[in-house]
Amino acid sequence: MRVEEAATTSPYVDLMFIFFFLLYATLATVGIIVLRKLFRNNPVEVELEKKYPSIEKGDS
Amino acid sequence: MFDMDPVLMSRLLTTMTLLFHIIFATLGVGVPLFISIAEFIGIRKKDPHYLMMARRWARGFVITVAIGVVTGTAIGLQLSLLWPNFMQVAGNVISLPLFMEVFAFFFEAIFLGIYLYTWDRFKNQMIHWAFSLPVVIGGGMSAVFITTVNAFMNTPEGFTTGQDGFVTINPIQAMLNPATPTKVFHVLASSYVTVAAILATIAAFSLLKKKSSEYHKKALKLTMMATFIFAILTAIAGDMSAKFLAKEQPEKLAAAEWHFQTEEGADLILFGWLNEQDMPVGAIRLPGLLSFLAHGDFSSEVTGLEEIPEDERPPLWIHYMFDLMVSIGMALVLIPLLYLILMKTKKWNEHHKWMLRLIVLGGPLAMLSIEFGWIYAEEGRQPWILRGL
Repeated sequence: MRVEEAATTSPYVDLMFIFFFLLYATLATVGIIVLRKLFRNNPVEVELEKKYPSIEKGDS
Repeated sequence: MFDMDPVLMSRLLTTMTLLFHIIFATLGVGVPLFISIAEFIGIRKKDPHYLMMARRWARGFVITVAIGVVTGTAIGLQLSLLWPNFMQVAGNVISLPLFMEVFAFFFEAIFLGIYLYTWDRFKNQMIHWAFSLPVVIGGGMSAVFITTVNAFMNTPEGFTTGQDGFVTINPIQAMLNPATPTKVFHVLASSYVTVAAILATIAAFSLLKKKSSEYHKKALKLTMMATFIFAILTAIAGDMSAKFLAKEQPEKLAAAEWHFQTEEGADLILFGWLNEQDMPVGAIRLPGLLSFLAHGDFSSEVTGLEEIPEDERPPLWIHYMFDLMVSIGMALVLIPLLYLILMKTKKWNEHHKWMLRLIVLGGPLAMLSIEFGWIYAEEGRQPWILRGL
C-alpha cells in the first residue's frame, strides 16, 4: 500500500496542521519555562543542604 | 481550506507530530533507566549525591512525560484520522502491539506516580528503588511494541492475502517480522545513549558555570560512562540494521548510500552531492566498505538502485540523513572515550573547559541524530506505507 492510497481525502488537514503547530509551540514554550523555573529556583547546593544536612559544606 | 493537497498535508502534519513526539518518547524510554541507576548507586554507596541525582532527574522527567502524553495522543489520533485506509488494512494485523504499547505506557505512568510519592516512606530504601523497575520496563516495552508496528510497515508478515484482503492472521508473527529484532535493538540503544548524553550535557553545562561541584562531577562521570557503553551498543545495532537492510530492504540501503549499480566490492560514499548524471561528486570514497557493512565481506555483491523499479525508489536526499546520523553516532563514541582517557591519565584533567564544552554539544547532537535517523527510516520506506503490498 502506497502512502497516497492510505491518506485521508478531507480538505481540512491544512487547517489542522496550523492548530497542531500552535499546540506543539505552546507545549514546547510551557515545557521549557516550567523546567527552567523548577531547577533555577532550586539549585542543587541548596537542596542538598536542606535534605542531607550531614553533607560537608563546600562538598556539594 | 487553502486548497492544499490532503496527501501532502497529511504527510507534513504526521512529520511535524513525529519530529516533536520522538523527543519526548526518547526521554520517556531512557530517563527512567538513569533515575534507577542513580538511586541504586546512592543506596549502595550511602552517597546523598546520587540520591539527589535520582530525585532531580525524576522531577524534570515528570514535565517531559506530561508533554509526551499529549503528543502521543496526537499521533495516535492522527494515525487513524489521517491514514484511515492504512489503519483499516493494517489494523487487522498489527493493532495488538499498538494496544500493548498503550498498556506498557500506563504501566510506566502508574509506577512513576508511586515512585515519586514514596520517597523516604520505606525503612528499607531498596523497596522504593524497586518501584523504579516497572517504570524502566514499561518505558522500554512501549518502545519495543511501537517499534514492532513500524517494523511491520517495512517488512509486513504474519498474514496471507485472499480476495477480501488479509486472511489467516497471526499477530505474533506480524510483531516478530524480519525488521523487528534489529530495529528494536537500535531504538532502545539509541534512546539510552541519547538520554545519557543529554544528562551529561546538563552536568557539563553546570560545571562550566560554577566550576567545581562534587554533585555535577559525579553525574558527569556516571552519564559519560553510560554514553560510551550505549554508543557502542547503538553502533553494533546500526551495523546489524545495515546487514538486515542489505538482505530484506535493499532499496533503502542503496538510496542512503547512493549505490546505483549492483556490484562486488562496493565503495562507501560519504557526503558529497549528485551532478546532472546522478553521479556522486565531492564525496569521500572508502573502497569496499559498503560491501563490508552490508555482508561482512569486502568483496561481496551489494544490490544497487538500478534493480528497483523507478517508481519504487526512495528519495536520494536521505543519503544526508544517514550520513549525519552515523557521524553523530561516531562522535558519541569518541567524546566519552576522550573523557575516559583524560580521567584515567593522572596528569590530565577531564574537567578541562574544552572537554566540558564538547560534552555540552553531545546531548543536542544525539537528539538531532534521533531525528535524522527517523527521517531516514520513514523516507527510506517511500513510496510505501506498507512495503510491497
